[in-house]
Amino acid sequence: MLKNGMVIAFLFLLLACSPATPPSGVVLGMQLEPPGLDPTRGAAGAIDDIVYANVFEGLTQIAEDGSVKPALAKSWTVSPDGREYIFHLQKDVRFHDGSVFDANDVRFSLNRARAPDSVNAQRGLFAPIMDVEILDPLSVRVTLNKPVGDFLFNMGLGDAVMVDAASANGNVAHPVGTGPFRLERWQKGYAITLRRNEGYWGKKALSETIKFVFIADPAAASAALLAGDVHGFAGFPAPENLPVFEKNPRFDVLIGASEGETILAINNGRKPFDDVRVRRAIAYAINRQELIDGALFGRGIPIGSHFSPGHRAYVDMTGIYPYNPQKAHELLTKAGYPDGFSATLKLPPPSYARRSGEIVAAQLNQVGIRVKIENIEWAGWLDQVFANKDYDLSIVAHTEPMDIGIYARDDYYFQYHSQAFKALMEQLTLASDPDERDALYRKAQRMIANDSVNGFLFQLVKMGVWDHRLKGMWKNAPIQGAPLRGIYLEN
Amino acid sequence: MIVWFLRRMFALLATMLAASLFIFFMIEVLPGDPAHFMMGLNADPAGLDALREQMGLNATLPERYMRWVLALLRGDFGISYTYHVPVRDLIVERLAVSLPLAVYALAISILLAFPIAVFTASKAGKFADTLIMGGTQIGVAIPNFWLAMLLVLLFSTQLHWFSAGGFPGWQAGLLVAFKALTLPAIALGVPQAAILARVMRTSLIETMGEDYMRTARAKGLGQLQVIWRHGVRNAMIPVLTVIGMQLSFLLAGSIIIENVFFLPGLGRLVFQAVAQRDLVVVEGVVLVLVLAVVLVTFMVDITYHLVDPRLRRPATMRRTK
Repeated sequence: MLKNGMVIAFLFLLLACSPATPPSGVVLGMQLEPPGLDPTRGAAGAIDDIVYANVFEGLTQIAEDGSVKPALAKSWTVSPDGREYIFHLQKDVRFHDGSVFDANDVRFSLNRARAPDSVNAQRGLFAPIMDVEILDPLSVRVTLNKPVGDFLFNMGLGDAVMVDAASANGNVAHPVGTGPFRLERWQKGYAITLRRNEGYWGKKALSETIKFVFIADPAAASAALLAGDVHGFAGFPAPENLPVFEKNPRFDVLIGASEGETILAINNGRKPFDDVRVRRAIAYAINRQELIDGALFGRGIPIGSHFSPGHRAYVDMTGIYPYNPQKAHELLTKAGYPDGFSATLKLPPPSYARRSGEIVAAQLNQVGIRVKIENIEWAGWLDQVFANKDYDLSIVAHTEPMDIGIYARDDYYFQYHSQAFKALMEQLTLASDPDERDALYRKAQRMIANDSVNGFLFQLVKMGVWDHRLKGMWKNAPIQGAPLRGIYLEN
Repeated sequence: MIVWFLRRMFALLATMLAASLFIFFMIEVLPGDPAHFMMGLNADPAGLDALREQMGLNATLPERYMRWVLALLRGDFGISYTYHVPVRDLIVERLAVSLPLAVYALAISILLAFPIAVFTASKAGKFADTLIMGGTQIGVAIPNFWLAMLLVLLFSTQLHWFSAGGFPGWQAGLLVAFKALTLPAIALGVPQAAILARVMRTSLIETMGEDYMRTARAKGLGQLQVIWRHGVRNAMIPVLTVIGMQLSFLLAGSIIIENVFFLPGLGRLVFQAVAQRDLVVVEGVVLVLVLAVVLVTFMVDITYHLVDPRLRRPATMRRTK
């Protein structure tokens, strides 16, 4: 038996001492694996995290500060009425399969996205396009049926990337784009490897390969970083472990703004939440700092409306309903609920939702709203809360950029119906002057804060943890996904 | 023997049919629309409907069941909703991790358990026995994911001997791949070894009271030799049963370990697929797992016959003995 044990121990040591294969190129960790790799099909953020600006490119590209930069369109002109855009395309651009990118591909990509049978998750963005006309192989005229102020921004989203007619349908599994990286290998359930596109039209990528490894478990994510298996996480899933990395000189920790407004969604169509006094009472009952400390380990930015604090048009509305349980109770009494009422709170799986759910429930209980928590999984959440509006309260982060327009939607799950807000959004669509748009955005933020449509909790932050030697990562996340052309590992 | 074999085959097929029915209807009645899941919070209703049509979700349930089973008989598991690749390929890819991992863990379990069982059985009631059996009690109680985390802390983040997880694939080399599976296999195998050792020890001690053991001792064999040569084989029936159950458990139940070590195994595939409402994948994987369990049980039955000649004789003869 002793011999047996020694043999086992010997084999173990032999394995342990066998040459560890050092990761060549950059290895990044990600919490979720994308279901596919076609950003024009499906809304999963993980798709853009990998392919946006790396494998696929659009006419425009969104920079780290949220501004619009040229990409496959090297320049453009806009007609005075804001309805006609002429895009001048980069020349000598080729898709990864060798076919040439030109005006035909622009027309194909835009028409495909707006077609009646399109499965683009953001088809609405393409709806104003009336016509796409080829002027010559390198210029295209896009005509809209009404001016759309953020058309150029929209063209920079992952949903609007340029694809080739011959390969478009296979992009889910074998993406063919024009970007600085092409897909080398997808080991499903484990990793995706991108390799530098040597025939790239612009400045070539610095790193030869980038490998994304999918690690769902937060503890495993920390271990993988510490063991040196991955060089960084752009979105680190374990805020509780951040102090470990902040103290360790091997790592850089950067906290940036994200587009994730986390709200306590309120079903405005249901009693008693149709009464604005009840909704305001809820707002007064919520102590945001306690939430951020308790649910996010202090890493979050309080918000008072549905808008990212990173944006220049942001107004801080956290002051209009400061934490005041006394006032909440008075408002509930005025609304006819001196003894409060019962409500359910349906929570999706992410830890920010589950953790803040417990705290919100406790805070609401203090003013007499007896909250029953129901934990449900994502598919169930989409079905019950989002599609069928069968809920009282819920907590979720809305991560789409600049999405305040959802409050104008008729059948949205908040059930908020305000003619004034709809009119405001209509105005915004038509406005193209940046200052005018900012003013309208500010007005919109005030309006939904005043109506206390939802409980506005906090902005999620983008927690980046990476190896000190890894250079060129983005701190902020103005949209889902970030270009990795400029990242490299310093020796 | 042949009649017995045919009867077992028939039972196997019936089990599979019942399982397919159960799996399909259980999964299809789950709330949650896969199309909605793929399109996200801002989805356009017309786009949603187009996708649902594409995915064949607009047909009736019995229609879809028939379509699924007929395709299965041709070896076609369908196309994954989320990955857009054949489910069969996904399962084969994942089995290339899960199957070796299960076998590796089982090997560790057996390699540890057999010597422990033989040793403790030979020293039954003595101090060494009590001590080691106390140790296996701890082994049984330790959750395997916790053991996994301890292993990662020690061998990956501190000593840097092993990766904290991941699986580079078999094409990266046999040694590299085995190395990647070593910590997970230990985490899975050690608690199983503790269980197996306890079962085997009990079974051995029972066998030791038999006449033939006394005869063997009378021949002049030492205690350990008696147990190795005569006891182990006779004590195998309950041990084999447990090994069979362990293999099934290791194949289907390693999901938590796969999460801790981010391994692309079957468990994680099915976990992800359930969360994303990739129903075709869930159905396919669960069916394969059922098949695996049924086959393992079948194989264990056959090994009973090989190990114990008494079972090979027809039942009637056994009774007249």
